[in-house]
Parts: sequence; structure tokens; C-alpha cells
Amino acid sequence: MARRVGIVAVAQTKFEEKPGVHIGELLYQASRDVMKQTGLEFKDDGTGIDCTVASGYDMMSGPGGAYMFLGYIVGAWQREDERVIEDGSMAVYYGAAQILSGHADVALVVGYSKETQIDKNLIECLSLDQIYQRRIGLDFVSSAALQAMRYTTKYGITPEQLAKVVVKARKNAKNNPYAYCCDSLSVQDVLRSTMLCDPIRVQEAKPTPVDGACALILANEEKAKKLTKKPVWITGVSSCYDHHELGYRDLADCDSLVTAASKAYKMAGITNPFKEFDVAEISEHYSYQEPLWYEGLGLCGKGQGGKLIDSGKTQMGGELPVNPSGGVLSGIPHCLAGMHSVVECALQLRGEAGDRQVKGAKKALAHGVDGPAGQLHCVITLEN
Amino acid sequence: MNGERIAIVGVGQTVHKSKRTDINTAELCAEAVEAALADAQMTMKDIDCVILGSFEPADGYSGPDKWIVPEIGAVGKAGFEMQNVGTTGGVVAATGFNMAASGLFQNVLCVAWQKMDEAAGAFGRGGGGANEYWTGQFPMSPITNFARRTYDYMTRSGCTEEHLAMVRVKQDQCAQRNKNAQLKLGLTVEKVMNDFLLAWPIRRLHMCPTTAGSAAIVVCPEKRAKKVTKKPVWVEDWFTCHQGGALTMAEDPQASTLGYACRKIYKRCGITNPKKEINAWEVYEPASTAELRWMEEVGVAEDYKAWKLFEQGKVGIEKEIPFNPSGGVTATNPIGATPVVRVVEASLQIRGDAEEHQVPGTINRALATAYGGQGENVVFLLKKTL
Amino acid sequence: MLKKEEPQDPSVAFRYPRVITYKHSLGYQSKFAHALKMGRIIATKCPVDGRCTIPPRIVCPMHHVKQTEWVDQGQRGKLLSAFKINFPMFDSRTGDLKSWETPIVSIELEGGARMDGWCSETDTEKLKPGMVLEAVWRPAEERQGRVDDILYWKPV
Repeated sequence: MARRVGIVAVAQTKFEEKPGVHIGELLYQASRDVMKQTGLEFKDDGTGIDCTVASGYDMMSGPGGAYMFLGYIVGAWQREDERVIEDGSMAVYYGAAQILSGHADVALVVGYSKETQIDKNLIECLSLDQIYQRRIGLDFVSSAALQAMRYTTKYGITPEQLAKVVVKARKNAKNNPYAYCCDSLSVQDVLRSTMLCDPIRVQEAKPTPVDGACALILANEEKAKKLTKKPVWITGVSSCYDHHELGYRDLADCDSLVTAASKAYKMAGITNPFKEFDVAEISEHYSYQEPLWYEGLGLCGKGQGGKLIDSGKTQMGGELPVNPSGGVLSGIPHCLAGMHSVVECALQLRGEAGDRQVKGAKKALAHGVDGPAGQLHCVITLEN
Repeated sequence: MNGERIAIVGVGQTVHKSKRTDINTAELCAEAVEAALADAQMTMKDIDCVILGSFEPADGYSGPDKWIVPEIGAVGKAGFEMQNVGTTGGVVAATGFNMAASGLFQNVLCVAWQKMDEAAGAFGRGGGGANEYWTGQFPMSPITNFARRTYDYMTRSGCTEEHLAMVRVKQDQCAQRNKNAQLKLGLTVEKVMNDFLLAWPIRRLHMCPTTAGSAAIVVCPEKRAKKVTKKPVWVEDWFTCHQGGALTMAEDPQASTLGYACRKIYKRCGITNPKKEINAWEVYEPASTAELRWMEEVGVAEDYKAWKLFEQGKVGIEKEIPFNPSGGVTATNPIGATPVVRVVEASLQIRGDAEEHQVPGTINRALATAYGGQGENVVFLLKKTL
Repeated sequence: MLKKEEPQDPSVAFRYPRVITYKHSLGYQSKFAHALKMGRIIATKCPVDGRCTIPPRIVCPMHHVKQTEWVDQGQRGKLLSAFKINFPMFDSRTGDLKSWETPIVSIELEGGARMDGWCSETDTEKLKPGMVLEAVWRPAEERQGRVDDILYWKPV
């Protein structure tokens, strides 16, 4: 990228079931937090926040233009206020594009999700093709199961390797005060848990329902340097669509992630991702996704994801710790996963990640995904 | 603006109809995409970013971009979906502009659509645009919103039902000359005034129809635009202005951000006399009666005096004020795509390609807007030369 | 590709009915719902300009300060505007089409907040801006803490 975009402040709420809380309160808490950190407010003379980008599904939060009733909560009354209907990483992507285009100097990116008010699967299945896929009862879980089956058989990934992903996630989550699930699990516990959708077991899927919100403030290079002593720079970003029909792709490979990653790495000048990144936060909604996304992100060769997990190099203290926060498997709401990845990476690069801090982290990799069986990926590279 | 200067190099839209049972939603999008790519003399190979959008609850989907992207041939491209109630198309176009101006992409394709024949009433059933707890008990819809807005306008301005009918007739006269418009009814003031009353003073003919339609634009940064087309339409500026339902209609019946957005954008672009400096207008009026207030807010008429312009016959394609030469939203309304249709029509005017409904003379600048909810707006300013 | 001589069937459509149940939390707005059960209307007040808002808001949209003060709005209000819907429209509580006999009115309450309601006077000609209306409530045991606990507004 010719110019850099800086992250000047990040915030997140505690992720948990909050049935008694209004969706706006979550949004207020997170957005107010970043605004306090920077002392910025929405202004129309260019001295404050210029615009806001939100992410959140309409059908998830309520019927018909739900965000219309939430925009004012972040302070966007009569201001630029737009919304991405994808995973939160795409909202960060668009926020960065707004700054690169010069249309805004400072942007507030927010994400909110309240899974306790709706059955997540019901809504997810509405984004599937209505003529073929919904008719045979496919939803995000069952398409993930198909992908898991294909991936594990093609490359001989063992259930134990996948269980280790969950064990790692929950162990890491213990160091994260915002995480939802941080129970001590053994590989056996995971393998003995109820079957959710063969071969995915309950403990291998993202815990649901969880509520929460995230917020970030992005700024152009000049303003970011003024606003904070510890800016985190977005050096590369890209998204990529894959085929929707599962039969059109080999589910054991994730071509769109490979494309998105290579474009983002090219922008950031990264040639050997495994060596160059110090920490990564990737969105694994199911345990099989972590080794598969490793491969797509170029952290290891095709079919080598299982071995990388066995090697322990991606655990805390390893060469490239992946998901020190516990990641999505420790319970991040729908739509927020990718934005949460960026927030956590920013905390790591600022050295403010507390007990889950990776020492001396300089470059970080954030990843978000949306759609059935990882159709739409977004890769964001960060530097301090 | 310190990003790249950008231009619209290709525009496309479907012929808008109330029903398109012959095709599915993805095919509908593909029609507009094909038209836009052909207009830009490009193929899908040239495109590196796609931005999609529709007002999902009116179609009954959630995240339909996932299955529409492969159908328009955009697999392997970067992009995402935007949505924001009635201004969806406006936000889609604004996102496309930002993406092209960011320097990250060379050819950005924006697609918006709505196929309202497929989920008839889903919008009303879901209490579309209504807050689930507070206004859920009332049958809130654009009809009731505009009944209240127009009632208030009439009390404040002193205009009569006859003037409201004149506005509708003007829109119909324009629509009859637009080959893509949906409603071409041959209206007279009398016909409109005797039409079925929905909620006083709104009659059925005053409201926008339900439409199946799609629209697409191709946006490029300056260098690339100059290379691919002889008739680029330059995007001078745009501003998204949402008030987040912060004021209910009960609190202020005239609540709108259009005036604020226009004043801001005029200031940024150094426009002091919008009536003179802008030569064509494509403004999103969900009800024909709203056109009166919108004319005042964008600055072509004095506050609460716009109806006098209709009385004097000053509004029309060949008249002093070419307001909505395409026939506007009361003739054609595929909700999510409507703002993109406005941008498409404004671009056609600037290029001089609007055929039958072309405004005479050189169109140096055109203004297009999007409207949604209870006064949310996106304003676009397009121009002929840099 | 179909050959020309093959019969071309008309396009097919299918129905996809479904029920989605939402359970929305009111959170800070619960206070308002509890007040309705007690037969009271309360609103949040902006600490900067004292403007009261219904629906209650967590922050003032204009000044973006947290609103924590709740103000009783009384039982009466001035009519701002009224209109009647002359066609069947969806009732978003049930999703069914319904005819609407009573006009919708906007009211400015004694406490200054503005809200919508139904009016018992069905002749819109008789509804004049500025006239005083009074709330008529559902019997206490039937109230659910929803806005329709106020059955309608009656001219005084």
C-alpha cells in the first residue's frame, strides 16, 4: 500500500450471554471506550471522527433496517454512517479504504452482535442459495461438516489433531479476561463430546449464543501519529470471494483464502509469512478450520496443517502463536470474529495484551471469514 | 480529497417491471452487470473488486451476495456487501467510489438489486424500518411516514392537493419518455386527485411502486478512466448522511438530513448557486409529494415555496428546473437499487446519452441522492469535466 | 441449451415460508416498560438541553451525552397531527393484514416528550392540532409493558 492506515484505539466488551442488555448498550460501551481513549468525538469540521462503518446482519439484529436505530448511539447523528453486511474484518477493510481514498481522516469501526435474541442457524441459512441448497437442508454447520470430512480424508488429518486445536484455544482463553469459554479441556474431553454434525463435535464448534461488541478507531498516517504514541499500521488488506456451490470447489483447499492472503502479503511485502509474523489471530468457527486456514494463509504447505498443530509451534511460546486470545472457539459472536482478530492483533502489537501478550510482537496477521465453508475471506496484515 | 480522482466509466440497468417471474434474482443482477460492462467496454476479467447490495428484509434473504457473486461471474474478486435500509444503493455506490479512490483497485463494479415480486409484503410484515418495540404497534411504513410529512408540509406551506397531483403528473410525463421506467400511466391532475386514498393526503399514485430491477456501475481511478472511455463521468464528491432514526416522525415530521448533506457538499465543492451550477437533478422521492420538500432542501426553491414552481409550470425536462427527468422513484422503485438507478440516470444526462428524456443543453453537473428510513440521505455530485 | 423444437415450459416458482422468532432485550428501556405496567409514561431527559425523548434513549442523539434522568410525562398531551389509514396494512405484531379504523395521532405530552398513539375519535375532521387528549389504559392486570398498553387517546 502506498499510504498506511493506523489503528489508534481498540476496545471490546466482555463476551458472554447478556440476555438482559439492550443491543445499543453493547454498542455504546465499546464505542465510548475508544472515543475516551483518544478524546475524539464526531465533528463536522474535520477535527474529530469523520465517519463510521459498522458490521452486523440486519436479519440477526431485528427486522428491517435495524442499524437505523443504533447509529445515533455511537454519535453518528447526521454523519457518515455506513454498514457492511459481512464479517467484521470487512468493516475494517472498508474503514481503511475510506481513509486511503482521502474521504475521511478518522473513522470509527464498530461491530455488534446479539445471538441471544435469535437462532443463529436460522439466519445463516438465509444466505444460502434458495433454489438448491436450502431445499436440501444445508446450513453453515452442515456445509462446514462436509468441508471437515473432505479435508480430513484428503490429507489424513486425525481427530486428535483437531481436538488439540480446541484444547489450545480454551487454554489460551484462560489468559483473556474478555473470553467466554475458558474451561480446562483435554483431547479426550473433546473427542467424547456430543456429535453436532458428523464429524464436528459440540466442543469443536464455536460456542453460541454469545453477545458482545468491538470498536476501533482508524486514522490516516499523519493523524494517527498525533493521536497515539503506539499506532498500529494496517500494511496490507484484501478480501476474496469463492464459489458458493460447494460442489464447485475442492473443499479441502481454500483458493479464495490463498488469493486474499497473497494480495495482502504483496501489499505488505511479506514473502515468508510463518517466519515474518510474530502473532496471528484467525477465525476458526470449527476446529478443522484452523489447520485448513493455516494452509490457505501460507503458514504451512498443503495438507501440512495437522502436522503444524502437532509440532506445537502455534501454541503460546511457539514460533508463531496463533489465537493467543482463544479465538472464535472460545466464543466470539457471529459477525464479530474478524474484527475481534484485528482488535486482538492491535493489542498484541501495542504490548497491551496482558497475560496473553506475545513478547516483542512486531508483525501480526488478522483473518476473518464469512459464508458457507469459508466462501469469503478477508486477510489483514498489521505492524507496529 | 487526497485520494485518486475517480470516474464512472460504465452504467447499466434492467428494464424495470413490477414482476420478473421469468428470471431469478441472480439473473436479474447479471442483466444489469452485462449492460454496465458492455457500456464500459470491459469484461468481468477486467474487474478487480465487486460491491453488492440490496435491502435484504424486502427480499427475504440474509447475505445474498454469497450466491449472487458466482452467478455474475465474480468469483476470485475482492469485495463485500453493503446494506442500509433505503439508502442501500447509495452506500453501495459510495463504497465503490471509496474503493476506486483508495488506490487499491483499478476497476470497481457496484451492483444493487431488488426483486420485490418474490417476498410480497415481507417488508410490512417485518415492520420494515420500524423499531420492533416502539413503533411496532403502528402500521408504520413509507406510506404513513409520508402521509404525516405531507400533511405537515401542506399546513406549513399552504399548498393544496391539486399541487400534489401536479407533481405526480410531471413525473409521469417524464417517465413516459424513459424506456426503462416501470409506470407510464398517462396521468392527468384529475385522475390523480380521484385516485384511491391510502392515508390522507397520500393517494396510491403518489407512492413509489414495488419493482423488480437492478442497476450497476463501473468506477475507475483517473488514469484508467481516461484510457477506457471518451465520456467519463467524474465523481466530484459524495456524502453519506444518516441520522440513525434518532428523531421519530412524531418528534419532527420534516426531519431529514438532505439539506444538511447538500449544504455540506456544496461548501466542499464551492457551489454557491446550486440552481444555476447544477444542470440536472435525480433525487430519491419515495412519494411524489416529497419532491416539493426535497426541492427546497437541495436549494432549487425557497423554503415551503416549491409548489409555486409547479403552478407556474417551471419544472420538467425542457423547463427551467429539470428535476427527475427519468420519472423518478414514483415511476420506478427497486428499493436497494433505486439510488444506483439515480446515479446511472444522472451519468446518462451528463454524457448526453439519456435519449428521449435527455435534458437539452450541456449538463456540466448533476446531483443524485438516496433516501431511506426517516430522513437518511446520500448525496452524489457528478460532473462532466475535471 | 434447449433446442427450438423442445417445448419451453413456463418458469417455475416455489414458496419458502418460514417463521423466525426474535427475542429482543429492552435493557435500559425496561424501566419504561415497567412504568407502562403501572400506568405511567416516563421518558429520558437530555442533561444538556432538557429535551425528553420517547422512545427512551441511552444517549442524546444531538449532544451525545448519556441520559440517566427519567421524567414523568403525565397522562395528557396536545395533539400535533393525526391521520387515518384507509387500506388494509400489515400488523407487524402478528404479520397479518388488518384494517385500521382508528386514526394515528402524534401527541406532545405534558412532560415535553412526543409520542404516537391511537385516537378514539374516528372522524379526523374533528381532530384539530393543539387539542388536549388523555390516555386510556388497558386494565392493570392485562398490561404487558408494551406501548399498546395505552389503548387509545381520548379528547378531553
